[in-house]
Amino acid sequence: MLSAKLSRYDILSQQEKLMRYTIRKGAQTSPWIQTQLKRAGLTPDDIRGKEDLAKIPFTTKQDLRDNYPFGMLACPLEDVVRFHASSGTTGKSTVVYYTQQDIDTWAGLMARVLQTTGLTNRDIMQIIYNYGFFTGGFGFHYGAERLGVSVIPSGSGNTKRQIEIMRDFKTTSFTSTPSYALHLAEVAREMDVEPSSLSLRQGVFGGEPWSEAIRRQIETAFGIDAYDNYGLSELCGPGVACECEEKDGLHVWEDYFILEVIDPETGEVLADGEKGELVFTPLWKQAMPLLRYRTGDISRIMDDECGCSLPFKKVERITGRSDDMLIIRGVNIFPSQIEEVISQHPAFRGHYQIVVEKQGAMDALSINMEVTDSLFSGNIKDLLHIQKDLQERIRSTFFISADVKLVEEGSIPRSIGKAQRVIDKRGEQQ
Amino acid sequence: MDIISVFIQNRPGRLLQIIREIEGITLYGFSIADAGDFGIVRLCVDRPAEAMRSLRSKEFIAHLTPGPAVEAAHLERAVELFEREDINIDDAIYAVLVGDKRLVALRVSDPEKAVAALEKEGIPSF
Repeated sequence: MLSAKLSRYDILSQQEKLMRYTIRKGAQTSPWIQTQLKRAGLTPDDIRGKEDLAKIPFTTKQDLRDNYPFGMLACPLEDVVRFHASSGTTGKSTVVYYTQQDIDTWAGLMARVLQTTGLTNRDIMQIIYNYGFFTGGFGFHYGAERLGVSVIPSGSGNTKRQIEIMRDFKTTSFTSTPSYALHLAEVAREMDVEPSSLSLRQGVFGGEPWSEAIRRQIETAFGIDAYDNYGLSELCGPGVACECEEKDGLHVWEDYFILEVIDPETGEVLADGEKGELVFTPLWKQAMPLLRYRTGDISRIMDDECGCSLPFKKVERITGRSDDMLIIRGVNIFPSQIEEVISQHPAFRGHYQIVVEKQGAMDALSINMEVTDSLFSGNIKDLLHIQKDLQERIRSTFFISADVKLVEEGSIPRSIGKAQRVIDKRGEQQ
Repeated sequence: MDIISVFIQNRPGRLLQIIREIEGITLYGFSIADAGDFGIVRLCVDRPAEAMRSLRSKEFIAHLTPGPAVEAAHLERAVELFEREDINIDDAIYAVLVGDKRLVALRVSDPEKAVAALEKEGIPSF
């Protein structure tokens, strides 16, 4: 959890000390780190300060796949108390391992996340994540318990029951993916439960990129503060970074992780403020230490001081993944940027799908947007106006044309886990 | 005469589903406005509230607009009146047969004002 007196100086000196220790220990215990150092012709003594870190080659998701299942293990199997696997956003899933000490540290990092978002032992938190291979459920569960929060391990799915529990237990906080939070609000209304009338006061969301507009929708629907958090199973799960009450960027726990931002093309380390791929070196992991892990997530380190008193630097909300960037007619677009445009439209209620396909040799972008009761006046002109307006907004933002299709409510599949917002058919069409 | 408007995507089977959904409810009139990928189906029925409930229970996006409807013989006068009163007619369903009356249901910009104007003018509305 948070020590009140941690200063920027403490963090930085601790980082270098722990970094040297992590590399030295990894060189003894981790076959993968041995290989990694050997490939670059390095010994642990070559890495003295943080500026030397860039000499070490990256660890990628592919390295984890190549070492499936136990090749990244840096301790005897007897010391492992838990396995998780990544949710496999892209490609095959990867396995991660934890010693008891890893689990304890992770719980502490998550407790810090929840504390930073204002939770206390007076809160009742409903954990609407799958408890299984996915790290979300267990990460929040252990962290909340550590903080003394009363935990409802309701798991994912069974939306109506989730709402009944919220009402009956007077749940004050919940965690889920942002798209599932919107789905919960919809279902609550269908059950004649006004979501803002529940006892909820805050929520912590993550697991998929989301926009400011979605945050506003969640906050308005439930009458809560909605916080973003960040993590990935390769680093522990949730618990790497989170927002404070300022809701403007995510503080990275730099006493436990070294963060670098790199150019995804060249691998070159970028200066603070420049946008690139996030690369983390955890400084505390026993069962699966990693050096310079490439996350695939795109963001930048914010230079500005935060209004809160935390000494940790912030990264901007993740705008997308280097591997889900769409290149449409040569224009680089992250789905989250399209979402930002769609969701600024007053008619938008949160369900849409982006479809990219080939029409002849050209890429065609279309956006399916659900028509809801609240925006249907029975008038055809109003609908045509929305369609045209949205098309115009996309054209003026990205300089490409999009075909906006109005579809029936409920026709876009709802997700319990990550929403499939983007369908790229171009691969199948070749 | 209430007009029910139902938003539908242009995909096979949807129209049939609407018609099946209101089985047992007498259909007075019916029209389709087509806008390419989507359309609006308009219905006049004897029990509009019930029809709305059953359509919405099947997750159709439906909207109900109150009349008015006038007899076909009075259409010219009604349209003239609305023009004078600055009431816009968005859409209409012709040949709404109720008993032996042949009506035209009108979707107008301001139904309340329209009904009041018709009454003042002595044109029966339904």
